[in-house]
Amino acid sequence: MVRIKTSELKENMVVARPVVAHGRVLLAAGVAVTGSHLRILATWGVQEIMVEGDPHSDCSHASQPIDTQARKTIEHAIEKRFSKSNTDNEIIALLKNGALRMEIEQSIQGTPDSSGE
Amino acid sequence: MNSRDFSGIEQMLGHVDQLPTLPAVYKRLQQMLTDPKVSAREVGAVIEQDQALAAKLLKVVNSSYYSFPRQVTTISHSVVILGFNEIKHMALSVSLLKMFGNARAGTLFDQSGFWKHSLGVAVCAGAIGRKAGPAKCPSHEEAFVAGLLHDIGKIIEDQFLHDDFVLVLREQKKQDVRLIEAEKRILKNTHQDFGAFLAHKWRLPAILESTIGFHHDPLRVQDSESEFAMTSIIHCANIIARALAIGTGGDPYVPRLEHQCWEFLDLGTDDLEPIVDESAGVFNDMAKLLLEG
Ligand SMILES: [Fe+2]
Ligand SMILES: [Fe+2]
Repeated sequence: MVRIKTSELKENMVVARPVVAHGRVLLAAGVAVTGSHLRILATWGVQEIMVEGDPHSDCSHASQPIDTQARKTIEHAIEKRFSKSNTDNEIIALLKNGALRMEIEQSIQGTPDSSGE
Repeated sequence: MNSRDFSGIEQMLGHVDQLPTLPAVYKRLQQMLTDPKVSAREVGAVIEQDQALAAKLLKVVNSSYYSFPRQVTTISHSVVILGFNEIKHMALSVSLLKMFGNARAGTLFDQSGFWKHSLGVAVCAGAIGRKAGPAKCPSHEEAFVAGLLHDIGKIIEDQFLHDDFVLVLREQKKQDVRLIEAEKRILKNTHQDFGAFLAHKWRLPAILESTIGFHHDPLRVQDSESEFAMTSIIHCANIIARALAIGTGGDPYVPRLEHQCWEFLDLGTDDLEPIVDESAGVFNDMAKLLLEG
């Protein structure tokens, strides 16, 4: 995970921490940035956000690739798990982000999932 | 104390003459602790009458939940370190898991997942309690047992209202709603009501009855700050355990957070990560100790 200026933010970078402005979640963690996101961030005057990986270095363990299909499956599961919660709440948004990160890390490390879901 | 009317529940469970009973050792400890002159040795002796309980309790005291710098080797020493009340709560936790923890396989309701969830909430409640500090959470052990017991009503439903509970589980799946929603539709009551009823029967402290009875509606706890604090802790711990998918609670969903609860505990956004990390780590340890063998 790395902090990046919104001016340096590019499309397809993955948001690592929810972007919160004035108590509202503008961007949830785990989403890939699009052009319209860039405009939203500019509108709200957001200067910096946290994104996955480390674009300035190749030796980061966090930027290990995970294949897109596996990532999609995990994202879908997390989306469902949080679908009846209030994800516009800061704490829930953080938890969702954390859960996504943990599951992706687990799938990279191949740790057996302890959940019974 | 937010007293509730149990007459409806009593009617539903009226035919049941063997509701689970409160672990005997807890009853004995509760009686003993009303005597101000009771000694750590005497309390230790009561626990040691049950060797299996004493052995497990010692393992818990030496686990990462406490991370004491030195090994604690006797029960009476644990009593001195933790305090009478605290050891009483932990004895209740370990006995409850001995009593119920042997999951019945092959039923629609995943009991092994249920106890994982309960233990996850217990551990997380302890972590939140530590962060919130003694003003909001005077006893981590009480938070732990509150977490372990918060969904006990589901066990009552599964054991004593089994046919209706099967309908509840089917309704949950078919309509893709939260379990509590399905409970309201089929049983007109929720696991909170059945659980609070059991806590009442067992004459558990009011704080536990409140927590069990209102962990999904914490804002209804209005008469007592300490009851609201503990209910808030369990409300948040339940959400975190669900978010991390520790065990199962009968549906795969994270409930809504009442933000007032988080705020009341004086917790900030920065507190979440350490709570999550501690919960995940300690859970693995405690699950090995208390759920396996
Ligand atoms: Fe519950
Ligand atoms: Fe629960």
